[in-house]
Amino acid sequence: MTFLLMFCLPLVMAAVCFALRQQQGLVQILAIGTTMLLGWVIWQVPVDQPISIVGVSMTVRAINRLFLLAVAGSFCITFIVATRVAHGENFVVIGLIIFSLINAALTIDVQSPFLITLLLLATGLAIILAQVDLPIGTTTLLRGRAIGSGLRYLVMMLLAGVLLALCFVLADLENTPDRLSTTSLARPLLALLVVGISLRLAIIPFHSWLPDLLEDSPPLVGILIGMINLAALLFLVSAFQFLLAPGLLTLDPGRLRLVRFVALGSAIGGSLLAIHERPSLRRFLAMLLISDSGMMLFGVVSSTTGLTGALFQAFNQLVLSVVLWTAVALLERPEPTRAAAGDGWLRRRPWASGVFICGVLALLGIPPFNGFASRTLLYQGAAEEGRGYLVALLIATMLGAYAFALVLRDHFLGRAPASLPEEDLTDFRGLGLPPPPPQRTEPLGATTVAVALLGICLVIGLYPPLVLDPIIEAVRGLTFVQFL
Amino acid sequence: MTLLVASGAVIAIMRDWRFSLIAVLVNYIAQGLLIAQQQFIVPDLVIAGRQFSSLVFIKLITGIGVAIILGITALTFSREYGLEDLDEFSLAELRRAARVAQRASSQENRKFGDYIVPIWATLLVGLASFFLPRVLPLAVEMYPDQLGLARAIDFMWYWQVFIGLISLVLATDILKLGLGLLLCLSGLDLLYTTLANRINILALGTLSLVTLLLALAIAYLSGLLYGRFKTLNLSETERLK
Repeated sequence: MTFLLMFCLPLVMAAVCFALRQQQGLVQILAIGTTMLLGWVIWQVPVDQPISIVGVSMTVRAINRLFLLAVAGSFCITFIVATRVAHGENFVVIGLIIFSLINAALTIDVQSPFLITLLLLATGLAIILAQVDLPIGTTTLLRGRAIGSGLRYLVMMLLAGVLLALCFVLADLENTPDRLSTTSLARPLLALLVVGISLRLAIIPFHSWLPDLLEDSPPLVGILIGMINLAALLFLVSAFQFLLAPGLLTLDPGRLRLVRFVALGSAIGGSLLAIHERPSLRRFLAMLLISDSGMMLFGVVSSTTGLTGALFQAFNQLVLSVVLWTAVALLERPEPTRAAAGDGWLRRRPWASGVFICGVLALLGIPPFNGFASRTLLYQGAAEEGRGYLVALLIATMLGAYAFALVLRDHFLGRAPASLPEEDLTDFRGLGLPPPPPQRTEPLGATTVAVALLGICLVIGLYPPLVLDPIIEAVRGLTFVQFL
Repeated sequence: MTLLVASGAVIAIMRDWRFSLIAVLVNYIAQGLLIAQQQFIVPDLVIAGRQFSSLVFIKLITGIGVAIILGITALTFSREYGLEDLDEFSLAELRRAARVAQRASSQENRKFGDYIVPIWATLLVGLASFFLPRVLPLAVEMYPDQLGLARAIDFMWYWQVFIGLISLVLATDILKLGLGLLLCLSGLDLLYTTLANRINILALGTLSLVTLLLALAIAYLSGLLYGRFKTLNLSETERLK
């Protein structure tokens, strides 16, 4: 019953919110209440007690509960922020549907990977609707590029879903006792899994959809993408457990090294691209996330320490994506006057700028924020595998820090912002139309929530065992690590 | 099997959405019939004295649902929604888009040459689907005692996935792109239904649901694109950055 509540309640509430979508205030209150209630339900679910629904086994393990709670909390905060930040008409509805799908994907047992793949595919379809969703009563047209990036995302996610599903059908075939051929399917299995997950996590060279999508979508959609990426990373861990532990897939050192190189390439390449993409705050952030995903992928295929670091970093990325995209939304709010040259964000939007800067520092693993502990574990995991890996990860971090220093100089300290949407300033000039109401101050509610979330990052950074202990416990139970 | 191949080829080659939508419906019906012929699928329904598997009905309902969704979308492209909320800029932009689209459609002159690449690509897909099962036979390993059936299954799922990919690559409009995605998903569906050790009804139901959601997403995006640019041409999404 509790499990059904976790999946069905958000879906039912999504339907209710869709019917009431003209009354956004009520819809947001309902959504916040739903996420709070479900957070409490998840807290009450007994751990490690599997149940079966229509032949599918479901369990909540300690690690899953941690991430389920983090997802519920992130949705709750996102819906609170949505009361003060521009978003699409159906954002709350789509958010609740994604919440339900992620709950299901994190609860279904690893023995049904095909079903989890389909649920992740469905989350991708939902994101596209959020991407092209316009606010109620908007007077402007949707940009053609937004439809284009949505379509690209649709194609990428569907291909990723087909590849992953194909991988698990092949795994099923490999597991058939009376198979005719003795040819091993290990190589195609690994290729399908790695390419499928790389497409989902935007690992280089499958990354181009992420910056385009984040650039053309409302800022809060970035948080939803962060949540789906978290689910995809956890699914990769489950997939390795499903494939490696029973011996369906064997990883020889050569293949493992190849996957590590791909991950390191993404970590370094993402940081390099962040330097190149610094004129746009959103594209810069997308590149940093690509670099971070590369590091997490490396952690998953390195060692126990690396895997622990990757899971911890995934948790941090989820929390930080809420912080960073809220800050971006606050920074991009329309201004009454055009900024003077040399008048950076830090002067005009001090709170939002502070949140953004601290969020990026946390993502880069700078102490005392939460990213420091997870990045340290990733470095430790890399050092265990070889000094070269450690050097590569450190180079990626330094390049990311350099890109951020340039962004800080260009956007926050000195020059006028380049990423401010032009239509906010130009729509009404010279036409006799009334200008939008001036918004001189930063919205107190959303800023307070972002600062409070940053406080949580600081607490986790100062006392990592809060999150780390259940992750360490969970990693002990993952038997596939011994095959890496 | 012939129906499945022919409908896939029509989707990849033809540009007219009327032919493509009929081909999609035929494709799903043919897939249902192909599954109905398989001996390993246990019939659990009796209709008019004949035994059927509920799997066949799931496929048929999915296919009809997809065809209806895309058909309704195609028939209602020209309707205008929410114009009363738009400002002068946006209305002017819409009028300009309509002029551009009208000019482009009047200049469009379909030649046989436009079909050469799709025809050759379809032939290549046919060859690949014929020879790849020799390299990586999956159904043959599962059903070694029914060699003919196994070869047909292998050919069919390779064909569906590859023809879907080719349609994606060659797509110039959003509807064709969507049909390519649907064919890829349909190939996966065929593979799972015929080769999975334990078919889970929840997984099959979810797969059908995802297929219908994909059709809805394509319909919605098509409506958006047409509403914005008065054309389904994908090149328009790169304009007006």
